[in-house]
Amino acid sequence: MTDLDFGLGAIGAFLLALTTALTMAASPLPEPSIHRVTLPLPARVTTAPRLNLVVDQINLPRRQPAKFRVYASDAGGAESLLGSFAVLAESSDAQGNRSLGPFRMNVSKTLRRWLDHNRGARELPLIVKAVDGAGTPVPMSIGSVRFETPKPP
Amino acid sequence: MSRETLGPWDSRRHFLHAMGGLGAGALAFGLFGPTSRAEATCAPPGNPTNPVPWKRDCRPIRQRRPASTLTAAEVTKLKAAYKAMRDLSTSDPNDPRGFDHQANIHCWNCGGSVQVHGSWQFFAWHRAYLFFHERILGKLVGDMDLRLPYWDWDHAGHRQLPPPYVTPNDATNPLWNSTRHMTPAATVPEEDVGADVMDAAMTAATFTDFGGSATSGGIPEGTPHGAVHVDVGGDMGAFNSAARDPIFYAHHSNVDKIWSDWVRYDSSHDNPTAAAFLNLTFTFFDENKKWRSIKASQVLDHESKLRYIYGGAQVPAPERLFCFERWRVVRVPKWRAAKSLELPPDAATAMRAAAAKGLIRLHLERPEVPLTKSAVYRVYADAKDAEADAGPTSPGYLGTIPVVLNDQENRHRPKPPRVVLNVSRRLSKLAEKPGAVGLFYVERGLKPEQRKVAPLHAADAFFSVAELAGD
Repeated sequence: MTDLDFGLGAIGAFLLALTTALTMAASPLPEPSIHRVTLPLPARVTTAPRLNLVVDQINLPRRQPAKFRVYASDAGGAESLLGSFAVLAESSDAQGNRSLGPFRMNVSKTLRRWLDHNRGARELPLIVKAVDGAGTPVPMSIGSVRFETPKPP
Repeated sequence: MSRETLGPWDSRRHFLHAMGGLGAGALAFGLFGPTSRAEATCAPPGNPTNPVPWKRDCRPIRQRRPASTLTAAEVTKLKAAYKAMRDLSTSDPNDPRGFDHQANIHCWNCGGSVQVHGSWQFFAWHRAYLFFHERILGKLVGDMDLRLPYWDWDHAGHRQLPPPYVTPNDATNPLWNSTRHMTPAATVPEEDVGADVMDAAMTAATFTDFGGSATSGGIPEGTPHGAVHVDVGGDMGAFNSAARDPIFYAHHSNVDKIWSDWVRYDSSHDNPTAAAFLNLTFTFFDENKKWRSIKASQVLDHESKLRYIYGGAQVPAPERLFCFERWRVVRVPKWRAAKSLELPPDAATAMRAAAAKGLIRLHLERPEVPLTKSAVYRVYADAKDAEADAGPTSPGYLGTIPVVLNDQENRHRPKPPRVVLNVSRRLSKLAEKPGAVGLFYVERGLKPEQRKVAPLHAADAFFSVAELAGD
């Protein structure tokens, strides 16, 4: 083995390791089917005429159709559905994962209902669950969840 | 198909583009796996040349009705149409009207080449897709009055697959699909299509929220639209195969109805007016195998332009006497660019014959009169009569359009009106110049010298006849 061979081998090994690291960092395996996050409630949450919840950077198998249901939980652990969205698979035999988003939900009415039962709340504990058509949990990961106030027409 | 989307469905493409030349292809394999079979096998829709622009539809306006309320005869006809479409895929696999080709249109536009989901293309593209699909079905059974049914899963009593699609629940039924996960007895869950879901869609404040923008999708595209796809499952659960299930078209007909309902739900709800949206151009084969292009601007008014309404949602539309050929530019002293309605050759005869049966009405859709102030506009069928402005005594007088603002501050933007004028007594004027009718309006001021006369144009115009009661 020459120095050149060794050098090329080392570079190759380094590139392989780099690719592997980048792959793992950029595409974490979407294992859990539940995502939990707590958001501070917007200052004018009770008076805003419209409020959207935006879920972004969803990682999901390409062959997986899924429904995402977003629940707000209260102190007692009860969950109330705020909104949902769903995505189709690319095809039933597609390989690998895909990154999707953003998805908007109009939660104006459902959040107000939750606030009626959780007066004074400053934070919103959210649970996002992903299921297929039969209700079976679906592996996924979510990058971000945020509130959005739609601009008036 | 001249679109490039960077919506939520294109994050992967967007990411790869951003990666530039850094071995993105190899990295992509590591990140996302090999190219899916959908992209590898989803074929383009035939071998088209330059598309012929779609102009207009002169079919009678007919209702799209809930699939579960069709009469036995309507179900028979619908099944015959889909059987003919399926048979065409076997007898002539190259016929773009065959069922497989029809299904591939969705595949091709949903990741095969372009992506019409996840952006403001979603509603407009699917409306155009269903429109041509519906025309093909009608042609195949020799009935251009055929309209697609819709699966009204938002109706609590209609959450099972509609009976025609599962009766019988086997391959003898052209509306059946073997891959569905949803059984005939199962229902779409309340969480996916219930009151909260529909309320969230209907109260979306802007079209960006409702129908998306150039780069993101709207609220109902996720739920209820996507959720029902997932609930039915099988072919319906994937972009590349969804349109292989005939229930797809009934499902999307209801999605289209939701768009129609949203526009009427609130006076502040409007479709986009940006040229980038209005000029979105989609291509499809029509019922005569002609390759057509149609713009988003042409599908916004489904009643006038695409000739269907949704049953139960609107008063049945009046029957048109005939289709205007087009608006054409005519030279009128003072107004070089006045537009005139070009009438078909037999218009005068048709109007006179219809007048014997009932009232002749002229319908003006969104007439272009100023909407920024309260005013009264008199409409004439002749420039000279408009100048004279003699009102009802004038032979060219057609009627009056009042514009009343909601408040003095004009905070509530008036919606363009839909005007119906009774012109039964004006037929001699309308028919005296075969070939065209010029419309003019007079803005009435307090003083005669404040009058303004201008040519009148409308988004659409047509004559109808209403039969007299007691005949």
